[in-house]
Amino acid sequence: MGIETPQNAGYMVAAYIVTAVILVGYALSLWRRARAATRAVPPGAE
Amino acid sequence: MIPTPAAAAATVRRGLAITLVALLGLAGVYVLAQVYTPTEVRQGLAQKIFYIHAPAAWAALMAFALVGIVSGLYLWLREPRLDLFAAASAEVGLAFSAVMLTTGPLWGKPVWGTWWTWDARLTLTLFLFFLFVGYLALRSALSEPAERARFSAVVGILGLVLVPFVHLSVYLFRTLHPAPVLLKPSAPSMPPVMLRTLLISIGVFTLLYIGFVTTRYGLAVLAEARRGPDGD
Repeated sequence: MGIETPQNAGYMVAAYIVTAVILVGYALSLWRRARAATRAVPPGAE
Repeated sequence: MIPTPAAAAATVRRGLAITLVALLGLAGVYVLAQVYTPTEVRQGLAQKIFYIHAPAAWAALMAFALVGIVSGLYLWLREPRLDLFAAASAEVGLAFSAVMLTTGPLWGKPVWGTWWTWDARLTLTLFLFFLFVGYLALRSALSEPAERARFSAVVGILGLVLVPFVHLSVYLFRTLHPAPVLLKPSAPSMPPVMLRTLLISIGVFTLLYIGFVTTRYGLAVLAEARRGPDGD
């Protein structure tokens, strides 16, 4: 008799969504901070 | 010595570019884990949480270990950039810890039958998270830069002391948490196709750490450069 694989895809989907939300959210927060901070500094300016 | 605002802004832009590449890599890891990696028979699809949980833990512990190492170097060399890097790494480490501490229970519930258990590994990990929350709170509470750097360096070094205990806790104490499959004296204990996905994911999370920390460090340097040497 074979092993019955548990049906628990919901947990995996939730984990992958939470990970994307945290990491993309943090990346967006850095991007917003960077946009505000670098607005006054044109590339190549001393 | 703090770089010029233009050099700091270039660092920020470089960090954002690395972050963008790493986020595309993360999307690739999602596809790789879902489509090209087989489902583990006993745990079902919940086992695929492993491909994000373990790399997030790796990135978080690496970030916190670097905070401690760089903090020690700061106390020795008194170079302000080291302090700024430590603060950047602590913040980034907390982001990865948040992933680790949320995906862990989402894996634990279907496999262990419980969201959380107060065993050594989980409790030490949560303690490490709060230690670095305290680290950032301490930094925001102190306004004098040298004092802030000195006090937070001590907390950062305490965090570094805790990191090996977190890793070794599965050997030192009875715990529900599985032992490491990769960072252990013997060969990795998983099929090659799963190991490939795990290693690629670790690479992507490492790149994401580099992107995040470069951007965050650049922002801190930029703020410091604008403030000037007198702190005004």
